[in-house]
Amino acid sequence: VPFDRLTWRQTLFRVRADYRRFIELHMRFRQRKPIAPVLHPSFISVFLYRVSNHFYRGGHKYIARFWWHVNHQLTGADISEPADFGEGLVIVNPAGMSIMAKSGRNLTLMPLSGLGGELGRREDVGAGPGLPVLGDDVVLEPFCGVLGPVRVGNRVVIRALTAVTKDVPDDTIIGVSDPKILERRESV
Amino acid sequence: MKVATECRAYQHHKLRGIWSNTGKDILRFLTKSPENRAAGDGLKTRLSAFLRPELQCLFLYRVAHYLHVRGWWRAAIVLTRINFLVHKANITPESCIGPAARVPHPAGLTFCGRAGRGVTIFALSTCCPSGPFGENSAHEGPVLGDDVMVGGHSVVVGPLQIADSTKISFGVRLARDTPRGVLVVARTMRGKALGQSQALLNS
Repeated sequence: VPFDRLTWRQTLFRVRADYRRFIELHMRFRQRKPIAPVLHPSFISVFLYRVSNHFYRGGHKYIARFWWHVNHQLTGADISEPADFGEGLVIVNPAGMSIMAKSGRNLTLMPLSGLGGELGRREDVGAGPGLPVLGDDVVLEPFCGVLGPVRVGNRVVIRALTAVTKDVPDDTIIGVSDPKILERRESV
Repeated sequence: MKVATECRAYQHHKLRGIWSNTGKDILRFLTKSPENRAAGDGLKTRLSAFLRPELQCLFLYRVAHYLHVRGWWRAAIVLTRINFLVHKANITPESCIGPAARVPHPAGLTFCGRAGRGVTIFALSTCCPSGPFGENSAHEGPVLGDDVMVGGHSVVVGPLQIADSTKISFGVRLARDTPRGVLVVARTMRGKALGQSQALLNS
């Protein structure tokens, strides 16, 4: 997918928006800022992704790959450098995260959610062969995934443990059915 | 210094609480299986158990929680971030976990809530508030009772009350309270044959 080159000013604008949203979400619970927010793993993973994405778009693929490695080793997040996320990206717990897609602004990724391709489908809907495109203000709960060349609309909430493999319209909540609660025998 | 009732019961506000709780964690590990029981309960086996990632992760959490309860929350958060960098486990310092806990595979684990004695949280489980959470949001997270087991890849979200001896199996998204001693299983995890894989793998 041909990407536009990002200037440092544009990258910094995105980083600032990520930082502001990260602080806002923290302040939702307690009316005080987190301690040393720039050293928080959530913010570090997003920042390192922005740096690698900047170099990738500038044509410096080896430098981009280096920062991707640093991010992977430091925070455990595998955020591919060609992935294109709008400003306001928040990753709650980066460990074990694997994401590769295109999204609008204010994407929220809860622990262990994933975005990427799946075997057998290689159509391009705007993010690259086989990759999904997400709208603005999308929330992915823990352990959910958007897989394959699908379009997810704006303001969509994807509940935990849900695999989205078809297009989703705007303002939708997607989820799996509630679990079954069984009386437990002593032997179980 | 205001100490929560659970923390007071488990002596989380005292330095010796760290040692007693960690000692119970080690004892639980040493008695978890016949092989571990056969190894005995000597100094060498205890030290060997203590150096395992699951107990190192719990120990770092317990020290961070002690610092948090004592009011040294900056130091607590530094230790929590070290725990994250070393073990890739995100157990917030405000979370209160009782003694004899087990986290067999800490990498990727997320816990932000409260738990009683003898809790077991398996690989890649997530117990957290519904929505993005920070380092001081355990009161919005689930409350697990004594001897609760959270299976691998399970998600417990929101301010829930999970009663004692509940077992949550693999791959469950639990978003409501459970009564005592039940087994929670997912409805949609059972796979079925959908066709030949050859064409898919060659595409």
